[in-house]
Amino acid sequence: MAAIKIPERTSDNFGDPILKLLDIQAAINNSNFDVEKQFDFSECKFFNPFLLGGITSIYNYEIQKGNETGIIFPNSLSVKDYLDTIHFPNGFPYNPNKIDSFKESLSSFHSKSYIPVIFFPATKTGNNSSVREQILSAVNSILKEQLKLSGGVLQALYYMIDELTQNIADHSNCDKGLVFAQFYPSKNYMDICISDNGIGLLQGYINSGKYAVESDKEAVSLAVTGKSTKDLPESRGFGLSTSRKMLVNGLKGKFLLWSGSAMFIQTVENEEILSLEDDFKFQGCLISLRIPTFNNKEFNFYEFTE
Amino acid sequence: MKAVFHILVSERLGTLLNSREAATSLLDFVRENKCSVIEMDFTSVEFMSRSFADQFHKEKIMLQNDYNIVIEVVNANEEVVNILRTVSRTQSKSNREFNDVQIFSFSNTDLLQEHLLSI
Repeated sequence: MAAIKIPERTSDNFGDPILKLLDIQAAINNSNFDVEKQFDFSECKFFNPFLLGGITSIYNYEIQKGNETGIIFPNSLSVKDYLDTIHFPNGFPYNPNKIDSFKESLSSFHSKSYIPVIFFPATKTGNNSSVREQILSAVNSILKEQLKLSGGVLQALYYMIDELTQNIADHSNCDKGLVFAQFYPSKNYMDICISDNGIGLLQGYINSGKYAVESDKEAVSLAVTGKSTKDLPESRGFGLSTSRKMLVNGLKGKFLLWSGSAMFIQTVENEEILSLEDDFKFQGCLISLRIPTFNNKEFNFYEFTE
Repeated sequence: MKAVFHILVSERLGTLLNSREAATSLLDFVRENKCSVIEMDFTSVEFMSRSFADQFHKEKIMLQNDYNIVIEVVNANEEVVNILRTVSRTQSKSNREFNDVQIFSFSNTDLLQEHLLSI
């Protein structure tokens, strides 16, 4: 058995949970596939959505591959309670055939400061698109209540969540995506993690045959500059690039996208790509958003929509 | 498969990078070895001047535009990363495409840690 030790806590620093997530991903990638993996939360006291959302994604991918994978829950009862409350690691339960009641079943979260782990369908077959829509509508409604935002800032939040989850449905070739968020009222920001374990950006570009892309970093660079794998009219294919600009240039937040062995990071000060060692390869795509949660009067939503 | 060429900067220019001419000589060397991806390894480099960084950045963009050569910055310490970020911000952002966004990579885990914690 390989125990993957989850750190006791992470700092408020945007990069710290990502750094710890990289270590966890490397530990998984470097362990033998036939050895049972246990995510060891025994010493954990504090979680950040970037770390916990990422672990949830990695855990579920291991399960999906049929690898024996388990969780060692925290020693602290209150911390274990938190994991139960956010429905880690299997996600908030719902019946896709009774999706009309989903909003109601999430209503208790209006007074909380988090969105539980929710897996939404990413395929377009059957009523999946409508299920996804209902789920996102419920998530948006919680965010509105929790964050007390209005006007353009709220529009921007809706826009980003819609575009980034829609990208999973359009490009990931997997059956589900994940959304999880935590609001920090005293720090005036919300951290949102959106991820999937699909084919990843590189494979998406290779499959499309539209660009000669050979590496994750090239694929990431194309994706964040709005070069879509799809044959779309000129006005489409900009969801990712518009979202990051809206978040960082407009709302002064922080944006990170990780696919394969490349990360794109954008803050007010910098934008850059990190080309990572193969040990750190993430299957699919993970996005971390740090969203300032005050009604920024100077922000103009329409300045960013293309 | 794109050809990758690795250059250990300290081996060619030492650990203190001061002048524009030094930056030009480094990138002339890149021009002579037309690989599509250059890994510019800054291991052991202690200092990069603003002049060096400015020239390096300008010529890097020219190489990308003229020859489609991508230069990746490998194992740069935080001071070098910061000066490269600074000069990159002074470039005109009109019609900006992705070719002037830095690509960093670190084979040294401590440097990766330092970098991520600086975000």
